[in-house]
Amino acid sequence: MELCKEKLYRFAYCYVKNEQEALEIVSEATYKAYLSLKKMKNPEYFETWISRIVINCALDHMRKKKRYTYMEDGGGELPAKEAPISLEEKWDLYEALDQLPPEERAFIILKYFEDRRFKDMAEVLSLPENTVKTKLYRILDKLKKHLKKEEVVSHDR
Amino acid sequence: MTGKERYDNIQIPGSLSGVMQEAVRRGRTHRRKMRLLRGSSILVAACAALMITVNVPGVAMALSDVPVVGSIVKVLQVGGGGERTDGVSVTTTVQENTLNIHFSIDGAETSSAPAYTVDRKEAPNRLIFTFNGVRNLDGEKLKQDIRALSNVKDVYNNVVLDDSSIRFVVQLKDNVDYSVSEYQKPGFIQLKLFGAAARQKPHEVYYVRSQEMELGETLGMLDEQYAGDGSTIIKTKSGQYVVALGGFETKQEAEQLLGKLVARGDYGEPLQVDGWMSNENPK
Repeated sequence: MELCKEKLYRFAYCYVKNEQEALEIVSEATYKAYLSLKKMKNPEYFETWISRIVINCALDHMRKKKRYTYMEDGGGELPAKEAPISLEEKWDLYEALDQLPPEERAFIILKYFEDRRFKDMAEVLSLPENTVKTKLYRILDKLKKHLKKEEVVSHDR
Repeated sequence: MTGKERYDNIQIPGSLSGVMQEAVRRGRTHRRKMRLLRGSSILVAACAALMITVNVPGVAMALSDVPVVGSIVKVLQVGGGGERTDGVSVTTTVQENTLNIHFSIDGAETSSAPAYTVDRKEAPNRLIFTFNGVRNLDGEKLKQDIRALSNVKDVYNNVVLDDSSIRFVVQLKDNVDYSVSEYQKPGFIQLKLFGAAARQKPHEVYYVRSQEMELGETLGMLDEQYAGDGSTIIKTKSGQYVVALGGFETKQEAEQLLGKLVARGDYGEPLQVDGWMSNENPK
């Protein structure tokens, strides 16, 4: 656990963007992991297993705090007025995370910040690989629409 | 700076290692407490069993067909017994309304049963068996054998966050009584089911319960959190599970318990007061 502690902290921090709360999440995840260590089937997948616990603890933490607002699904279509957006150049995905429901944030963190393959993401999220792909693209599409809408609003001001 | 760069630049607080070590210490203390609790409840249950054995209405029924092999240690309804072991394998055999639970290590029968407890709860009428120091169990065979008993309505596993323990619930049909006999040389446990001497009228029972959830880690942790308060895991009508505490005759008693739990520092997962009939499963 010592080896991946920084990764776990960063992961937790992305959810709350606050040192104290991120430490609370890591603490709870460590406690739960210790209690269920014997249940871990494949020690070689320790990092995958502990990442999943951190995600669940972060979601529990967010649910308890219930102080987030995020964009809704299915916003109105806006006319595309520029070339396709290059994710990392154009968007600050780190900032965009705050616009997503907590359940969707892990997809962005795993893919774009931790550079995980879809296969690894599927393991961490306990979902089929195809579901991970579909969900990620849906989240990106939603973000794209939201950010374009924001651009139009700020341009009009 | 890109999102990834900002992610990589998240500052790691110096207290991170200390916080994680503290969490491990907390886990270790919790595990130790649970072990002590389990040990003391086995001791209390064993004392209770000694008293109950004298008075079990079904003792005559239990002894009516004493097997030729093995000598009887005790007959009980609620309590426990056995000896501390590790790595015991569990198998079952069934005969009409009798279930025999056998134990072995490396293929050889053990001379005594591993440490076990039996508890009985109502709403619904069920027996909760816990075996400690066992690791190998053919769960499907166990369920299949128990379901073959004509007085059994259902059987299901409970989650125990300790891989050297197993717990399963045998839900009985209405007006069924039982006896549990422990034998040694070889060690085995015999569960006998028979018609109750007096018919019980169904009545409402009140519990403090959790939301319905799948049989998994969350359920296991919640059950462990309230183990000291006498929590049990019950299967719902829809086939999911709840953690339930109490089994009171009045709603007020359940509400009082809920009030105490809510005021406690470890309260997290929402609990509620609910009531259902003594011969039914919760919704």
